[in-house]
Amino acid sequence: MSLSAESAYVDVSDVDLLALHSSGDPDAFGELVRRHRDRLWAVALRTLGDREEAADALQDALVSAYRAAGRFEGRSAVTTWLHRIVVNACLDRARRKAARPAVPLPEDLDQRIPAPAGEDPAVRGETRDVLLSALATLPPEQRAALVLVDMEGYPVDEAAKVLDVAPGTIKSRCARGRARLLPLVRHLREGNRVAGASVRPSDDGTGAVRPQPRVNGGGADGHQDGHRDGGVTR
Amino acid sequence: MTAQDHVVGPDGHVDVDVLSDLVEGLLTEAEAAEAEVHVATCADCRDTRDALAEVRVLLAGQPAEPMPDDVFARIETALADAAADDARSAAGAMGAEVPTPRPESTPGLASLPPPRPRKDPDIPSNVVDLDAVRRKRLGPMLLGVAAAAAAVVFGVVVATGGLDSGSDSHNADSAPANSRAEGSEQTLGATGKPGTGAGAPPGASAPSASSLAPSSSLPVYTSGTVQQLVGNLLNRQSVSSATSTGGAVGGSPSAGDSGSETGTGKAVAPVPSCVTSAAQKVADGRQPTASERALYLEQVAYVLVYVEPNGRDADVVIVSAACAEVTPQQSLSGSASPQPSRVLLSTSVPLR
Repeated sequence: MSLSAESAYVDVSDVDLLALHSSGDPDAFGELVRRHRDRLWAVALRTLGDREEAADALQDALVSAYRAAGRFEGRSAVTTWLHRIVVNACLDRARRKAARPAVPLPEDLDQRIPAPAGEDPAVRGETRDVLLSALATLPPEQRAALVLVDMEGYPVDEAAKVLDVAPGTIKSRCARGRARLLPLVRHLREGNRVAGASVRPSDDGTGAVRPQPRVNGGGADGHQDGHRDGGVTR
Repeated sequence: MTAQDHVVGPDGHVDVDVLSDLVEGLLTEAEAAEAEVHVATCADCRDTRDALAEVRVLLAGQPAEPMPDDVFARIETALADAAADDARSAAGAMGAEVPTPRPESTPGLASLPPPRPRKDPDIPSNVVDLDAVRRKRLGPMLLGVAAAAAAVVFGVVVATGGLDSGSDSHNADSAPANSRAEGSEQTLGATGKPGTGAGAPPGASAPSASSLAPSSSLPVYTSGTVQQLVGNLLNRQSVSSATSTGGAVGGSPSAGDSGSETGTGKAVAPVPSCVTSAAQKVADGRQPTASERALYLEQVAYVLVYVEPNGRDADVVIVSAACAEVTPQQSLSGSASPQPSRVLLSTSVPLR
């Protein structure tokens, strides 16, 4: 096997790669993974917020996909199918993690998630740190919806297929997730460089980026001071 | 609950969640109207709505970290291990009844049909075994080359494959079935069409393995070398075609200039009809333009080449010779009867 083995697939569609894999081509699935590695990684990392967890989930998911390829029936795009397997594996992990006592975000989060090349590592690292911390506070389902739609740019309908829910559910999860991330925006507006500092009137003392629970229909969450203070936190 | 007390809360503002629903278009018409009226007169709520938009911008603006190479390496190792597992379970089933389903946990597959061993049970286990053993040995290397290095050529459209439904692209490039060269050197009994020079009558029984070249002397095809080897094959087998092509094409609109009609007179082992039968899905009634016996995935196989009428591309089907030849593996396992052949590779290569 050499470089030519990879070039062999330049013009092969995803669905044909999967077919090749199913018919015994030993390189086809690897090419499929290689082709989509960065997108799949981004989804896993953002959904789980932890490099090791993401790598574990992605590995499990791709081995499952490797073996389930014969069941692929072409009702969705191969990428959608792959994303569904990956996202479901991530959600399973996230739910299991949520069932355990809360684990504080690692101190070395910045080191664990390297800054992309070409960016100011300090600024990028801080923003990413805060963003991941904030995302980590969301329910996994909201997080997955936001990752797919807002971060990865998937159309709502496509995200709905990936998560196997109705498009309206995706919209709702995104809306609620964005609302919960409002403190993050305020934090960044203020240019607060202290990662993890409280970003809303601190009544719990944890310093966590934590959304305000919504009192359905009431809205009486008593944080009108948020209006005075950046106006985005309630 | 009325729109009034739903949309504007006791604090005199629209709740953040409601604003977010408003932006997302999830409110009823009445609720939305109510919210808009309030937002139009409330700077705080407008600011909140703007901030919700900022959340989207912020999320969308995060550059994605590429998959680190060590993660990619982990995954390719795991896939190689999976292939090895398949090999072991297939090996365990050799000589036994049915391949043993592999117990496995499948996190995240709740919405999918249960996974199964990738190979169909009716595929000879020795074939599975060879595939998998090869994967095990070569796994990381097979998967390990960066995509960035994938410079070049080899446009491939697979004309068929293992999927059973939904892959509508499969036959997209299937050319009209009978517009192919019929004067090709190899004539194959499966289609019932008479040949012109292969020596063996149509439908001739498969040659015995002992009369054929030892596998060690066969050309070794891989997915990476198919194009080159097919080119070589066409060159070899069309050496005399310049003098023998005229009129050989039945209804082929444009023969092209790249060996789409091959010559005759070169002594090549005829392709067993059971092999051409296995290739019929791709062949679609065509006679192969050229063919040879070769090794693919460490199996003795037949390479069947069907040059497209345009002369620029060729469908290539590699079919295991299992139906016609008893493999060493079969001998070892005591099952000495020929097995069904299957398509090992189906692809299309550009010709130069």
